Amino acid sequence: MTPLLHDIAHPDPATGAVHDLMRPPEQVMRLSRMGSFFPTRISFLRSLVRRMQRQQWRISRRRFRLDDDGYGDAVYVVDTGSRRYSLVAFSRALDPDKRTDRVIAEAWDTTFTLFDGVPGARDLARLARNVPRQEAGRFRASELVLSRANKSVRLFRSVVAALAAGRQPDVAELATIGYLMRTTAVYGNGKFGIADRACLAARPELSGPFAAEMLSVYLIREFTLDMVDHIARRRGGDAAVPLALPLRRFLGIGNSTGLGMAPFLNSHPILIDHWMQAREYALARTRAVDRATAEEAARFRAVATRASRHLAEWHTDDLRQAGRIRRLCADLRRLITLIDGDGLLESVQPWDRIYRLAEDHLGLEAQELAISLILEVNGPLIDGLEDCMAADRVMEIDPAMDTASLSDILVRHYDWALALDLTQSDALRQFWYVSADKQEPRLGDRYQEPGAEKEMPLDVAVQVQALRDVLRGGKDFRTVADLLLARPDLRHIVRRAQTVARHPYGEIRDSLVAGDCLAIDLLRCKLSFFGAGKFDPRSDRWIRITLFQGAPLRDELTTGHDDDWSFPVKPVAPAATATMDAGAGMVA
Amino acid sequence: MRVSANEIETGARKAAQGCGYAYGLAVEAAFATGWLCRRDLDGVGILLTCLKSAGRPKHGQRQDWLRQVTAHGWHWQPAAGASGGLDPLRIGPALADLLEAAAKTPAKAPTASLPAAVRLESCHAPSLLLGFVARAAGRAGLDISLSWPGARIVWRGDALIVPPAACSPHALILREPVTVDCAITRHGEDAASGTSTVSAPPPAPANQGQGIGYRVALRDWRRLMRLAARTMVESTAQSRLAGAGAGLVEND
Repeated sequence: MTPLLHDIAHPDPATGAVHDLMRPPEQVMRLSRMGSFFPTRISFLRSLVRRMQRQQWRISRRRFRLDDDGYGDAVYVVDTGSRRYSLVAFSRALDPDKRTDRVIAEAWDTTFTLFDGVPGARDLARLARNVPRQEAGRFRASELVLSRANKSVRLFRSVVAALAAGRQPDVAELATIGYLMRTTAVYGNGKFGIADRACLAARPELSGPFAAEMLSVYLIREFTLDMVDHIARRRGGDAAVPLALPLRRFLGIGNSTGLGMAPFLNSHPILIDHWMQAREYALARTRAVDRATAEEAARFRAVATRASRHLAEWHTDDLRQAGRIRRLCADLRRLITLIDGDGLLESVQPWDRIYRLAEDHLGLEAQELAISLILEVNGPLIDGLEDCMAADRVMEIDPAMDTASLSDILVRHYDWALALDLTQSDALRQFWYVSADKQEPRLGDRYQEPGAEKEMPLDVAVQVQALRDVLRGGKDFRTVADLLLARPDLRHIVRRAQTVARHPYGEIRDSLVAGDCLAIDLLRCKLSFFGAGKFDPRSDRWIRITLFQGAPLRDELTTGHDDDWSFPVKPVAPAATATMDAGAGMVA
Repeated sequence: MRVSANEIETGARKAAQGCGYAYGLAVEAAFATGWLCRRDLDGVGILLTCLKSAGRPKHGQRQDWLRQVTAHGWHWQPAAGASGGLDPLRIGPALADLLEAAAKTPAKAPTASLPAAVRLESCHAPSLLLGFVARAAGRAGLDISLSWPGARIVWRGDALIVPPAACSPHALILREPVTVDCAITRHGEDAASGTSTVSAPPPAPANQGQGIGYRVALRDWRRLMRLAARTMVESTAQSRLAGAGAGLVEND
């Protein structure tokens, strides 16, 4: 346990006041709130970029062999100062009818691996045979991440056409989508033979949650930007212009994701507890601050103003989310008005007062946005908490616990589950399963579809009530060991409940099999920790997002680019023939 | 072929689920298999032997083996009329749980005291017990010696003193059940105070830090994957269209 996380779990009198300001799990661990999270400055990709800047990582394009249409391969090498990693990219022609973001896809526009070191010729040959096949290939421990990306066809063609013709693409069109390509899977941790995460645990630069995956996505972003310039140059010759720097910076990398990501929040309670506790402790620390400096107050106003513009540029066709964004915009305007009207930024405990104002008067999305804004301007106070978010412990059973204590755990931490009426058909309507169709995760209707007998164990409330019934059942089990000897089928829920007693922010306090459970709330929560923005639901269980939008480019990591790129907004349209001039078209 | 640790543990878990083990026990099967692989043993081969010979488990309320407590310790054997021998994927977690509970809680009855010896009659694939016994030894601060014909493995707390690699390879992969004997003593004052050693990670086995993965016979891997595939639901036109929430094309 890191020293900081130990403080969170065991507050001493000096830090007790901060701990008391933490929002409790019963407030935080609700799907509707988790589905309203925004990225913060301790989200994983922000932490990675800060590390890259702090340690002056150098990224060079070692190989870039693409034909006129952008097909071929490329290698980008990252030098951290102590170790090197390489993104190996393959771009292939793809029949438009075969392009899909679904797991069931069998071909992609581009495929990637993050290689441990710099690949030699034999490595490249082996990777060329396997990486484009993705799940159908086999990999070695030298491959740390496996990924693929498809073009956002609308935007990609439009940008190439504009640059080839000698003009910059339409900024409004860029803002509508926000990326040239979308990753559709980013595999790590031993999938298909790649390196297990345990290999990276001792490497500080990649020990954070999903650090290798985030690095891969950052490099993929660089590749997509270089690719579009390359194709435009081949098409337009001397007439072509490169993508202007502000536009390059404004483009992120998209991600299209569905249910595959969702069970993770259920199956890793210790890790999720660490993420949530770090975020909540960060908020609590800011709420305990006595006064904001004039600089912090000014920065808050600037970030809030920028966030307003960001929200106005947040586009989605999803009617539900579009309605939420409209309400959020109104809430943020109201928040800013109230803050200024009451002089909260100049008051005692300004961040606490702002948070409570949001909690008392505004919707969930605005409350969580307020948290992101507050954390944004308190970097020195909270950035260290990014080191608390990893977790290497596994769930374990305490067989010596007496069953009375186990019953107490259920009452204290699972009151929400015990109170559910599971006789109502809607209480159990959904079931999570893995399809034989390329192992794609899916959600089914228990009463309409086959397969519920193979459901994944996300029915926590059902399991909790079954455990409660056995504990109440009259048979006297002295210890957990005695209980599990007679009822080995309860092993999973017992391990889970005992773990959650020590990691109370690790359990979602809503049923994941209820008819009204929205899988998209799980996806948004996890993606917010990644640092994703511009949530664009395609249904209640599929979402597109943007990563690294506004982030420094690879050459800017060593030039002092500041850590103030949250809530990115579209830049002023550069001059039609703008070149790679760093000063052209800065954000207004 | 070479597979990663995550593939081993996920595949083992799903294969056990595919053979009817409840999720919590399937996780234990994955743990036991991974423990063997990390020590360069054929964990997947041994697991497959067990899954084939132990039969579909009955994970209801009834115990399907007999437990006797004698002056010498515990004696477990298959229940009369039960098919097959003791299943290490059921016995192993239970043994580890009971040993740890006995070591850590004041005994109110002889049946709950820490035994000096445990005998497991007719136990299939005894190598699958090793991870569980290691866990009990480490967490409960026990010195344990586990033996069956051709094999003897010894722990002192969380230290593996005589590893399975010191045993005859043929003794580690058995097709027939054998009698397993376990000798147990408390390890110094740590066990007497009830302090668990769980916070101290066990010494890393030789392969663990290298991350190069494990070699598995291709035929065994395919068998494991066939068992794991039993956990998947056959796709229908409806589930393909609507189950993932993305539509069939998702291409713009």
